[in-house]
Amino acid sequence: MKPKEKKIVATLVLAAAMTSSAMAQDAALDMNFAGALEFSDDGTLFVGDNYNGTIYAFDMTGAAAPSQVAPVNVGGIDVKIADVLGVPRSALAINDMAVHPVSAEVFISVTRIGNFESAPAIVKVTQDAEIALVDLDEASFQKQALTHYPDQETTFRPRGLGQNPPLVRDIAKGEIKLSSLAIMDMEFHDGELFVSGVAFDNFLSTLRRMPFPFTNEQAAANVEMYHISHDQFETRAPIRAMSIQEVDGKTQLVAAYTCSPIVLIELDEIQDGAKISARTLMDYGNGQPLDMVSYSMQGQEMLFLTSNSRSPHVIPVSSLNGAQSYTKGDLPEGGKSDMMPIMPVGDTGKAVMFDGMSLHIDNLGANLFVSLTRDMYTGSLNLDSNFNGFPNRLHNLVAEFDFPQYWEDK
Amino acid sequence: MLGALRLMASALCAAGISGSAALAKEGSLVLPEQPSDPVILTSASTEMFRVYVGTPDECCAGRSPLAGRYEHEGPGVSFAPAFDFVEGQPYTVLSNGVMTTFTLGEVDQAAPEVVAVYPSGDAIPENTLRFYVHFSAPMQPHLAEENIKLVDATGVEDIAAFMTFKQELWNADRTRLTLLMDPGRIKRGVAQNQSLGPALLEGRSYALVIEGGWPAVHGGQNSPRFEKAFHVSAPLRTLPNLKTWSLSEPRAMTRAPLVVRFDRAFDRHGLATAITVLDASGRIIDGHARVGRDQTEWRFVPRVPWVGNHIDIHVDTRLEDVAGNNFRDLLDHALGTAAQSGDTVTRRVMLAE
Repeated sequence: MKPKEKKIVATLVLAAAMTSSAMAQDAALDMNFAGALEFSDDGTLFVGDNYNGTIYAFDMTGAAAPSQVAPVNVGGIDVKIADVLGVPRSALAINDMAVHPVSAEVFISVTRIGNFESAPAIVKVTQDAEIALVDLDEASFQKQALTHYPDQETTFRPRGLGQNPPLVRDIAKGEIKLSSLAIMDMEFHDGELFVSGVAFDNFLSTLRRMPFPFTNEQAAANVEMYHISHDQFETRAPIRAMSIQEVDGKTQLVAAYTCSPIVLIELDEIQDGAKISARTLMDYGNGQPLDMVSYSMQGQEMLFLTSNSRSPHVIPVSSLNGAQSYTKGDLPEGGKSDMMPIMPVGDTGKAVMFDGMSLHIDNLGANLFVSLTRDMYTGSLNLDSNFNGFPNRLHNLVAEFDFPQYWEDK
Repeated sequence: MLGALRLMASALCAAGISGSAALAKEGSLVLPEQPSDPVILTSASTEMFRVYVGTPDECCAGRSPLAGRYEHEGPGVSFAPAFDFVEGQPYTVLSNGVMTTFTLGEVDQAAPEVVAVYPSGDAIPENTLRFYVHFSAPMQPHLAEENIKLVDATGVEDIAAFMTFKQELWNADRTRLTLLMDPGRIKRGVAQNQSLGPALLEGRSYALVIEGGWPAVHGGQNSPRFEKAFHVSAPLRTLPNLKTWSLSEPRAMTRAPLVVRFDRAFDRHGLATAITVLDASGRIIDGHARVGRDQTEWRFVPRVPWVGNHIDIHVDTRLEDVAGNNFRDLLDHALGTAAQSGDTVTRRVMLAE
């Protein structure tokens, strides 16, 4: 059976099954890339497709909740996902991860490369640590095309490293399309989906909001912010990770940028065509934020922020209340790097121990984080669950407590 | 070539269960021939089977089977993978304790053929020394003398054109054969040159013929006849000289190609290693080189953008033109002629701003 035929069959099934569903409006699933993931509170899965400039919403509601959320651990998960998709690990790219709020299943978006074609796929890891391909052809879905989706030709300008000739990796950056930043992070809040990324043909940092179920309405606003360590206003680099919180009595978006300012944006400001000036509260140091997860620790709301180059950062949401904001001229002039005494600026968070490097992380129930973690020593990519208090996994370190004599002397 | 696929299947027994390979032999397991084909177990048994990535020695403990759809088909079961099978990737079917492996791949046991002859130009000099014949597959040796001929415009073969050695000049995987014209025919004043004359005469046309029926090492198939016609131009009797080459001036901070055009065709395989590009501090620049325009052009794209205001081109003085003349001396230089000295010759190229 050719894929085309398969799709037609699936479409007929959908059309028959969904006439009464709110999600019945779109017939054929034409998703080309499964990137950013986000769940609504009841289990609708939003998938960002940066190739099509479209967000897909798959109905994954109706899943049963486990009686108790169990930690999930799968060693070498990239190999196991590749096995399910019928390719070697080298033909797989992992794009994002999100936990189903009801079933506690871990959903992972990937790209599968085979026969000179790339294909999107979503797999899920069940509470029993079983890996299964999510049959998107069978799921009801709705889609929303992005307005002002940028052109798909413009690529990054490689900048190299100062006077040194650029490395292969720098050159490769020159092959990456700016439109790959169209959908960076998504947050579902109170019946609306908030989306960060770049948009418009001059590639501006943009925040969108759209109601769900999708109605074809959406607002796209440009965001400007003062970048402390770069000492300049920035309008292009997109928000990498974000969370919606109550700060200073208002519903605000807490957003993290590369190198690494944290800014606040009131939700009310996100109106179509608006030019938003974000309030910069802190810069906690150089690096690229990956995920921002909110969780509750002893009744206190916290933000857990991962980076590709720093220990995770934990910021109490309450510490943002009444925080000073910074703009050009408030601080000594010039760029600021990690080693300067002034850095970090305004940081109300703490760096915490994390064993290995988290590629993607999310809450798993109330007390656990589940993470796709790169092991420091073996390099393997593991799905593992950790208690969300810190430090944790201390047993993986070698310390005084590992000496038998220590216990004999006790 | 997506259309033509090779199916490689073999049944292996898991954990020493002998005789159960009969499953595949009976034809009860139908393996895919195209990436989108299902795997079908046609036996009356409703025993489930699973398909795994990899070869049987990697299978199947701790591995997850491919995702896909199982359907009852008559008395059997078919499995359609969620994604097409990938060409070149081994898969293992595990059924009833028996492992059967298959790989979809491009045809590599097609008939061999001549894919290139160098020098590739339509006109080659009268004193051309070497031909290279490239095949698509490893070829059986010791058949060159009977299969390769130089014929003139009337079809008459010159039976003394090539040097004959006991050992044919093959590359390691026997896909490239080097043919040397008998140097005695080329070198002026040598006996064969005087008695037979040059094998190639300026102004005339010839063809290098590789007869059909030459078998490949594997697969038992034979190459079809191949003919490379060419015209003969004036002999090359001057030393190659870097000053006669035309060079592009790529722009600094770009990866624009450096294009070097020669005044003559050079030896195809000598060109692969003889030319290096150095930056202003004398370091070899890494990049990708390509020989073009019938071996009269060499293009080089650096891996990273050009830096500085100039680059230097170094050429190994052993690089030969198609007539075997290198930068030190002519193939048939007169006895006592002093050779040029030095291992390399260089030329500076200013980078455009």
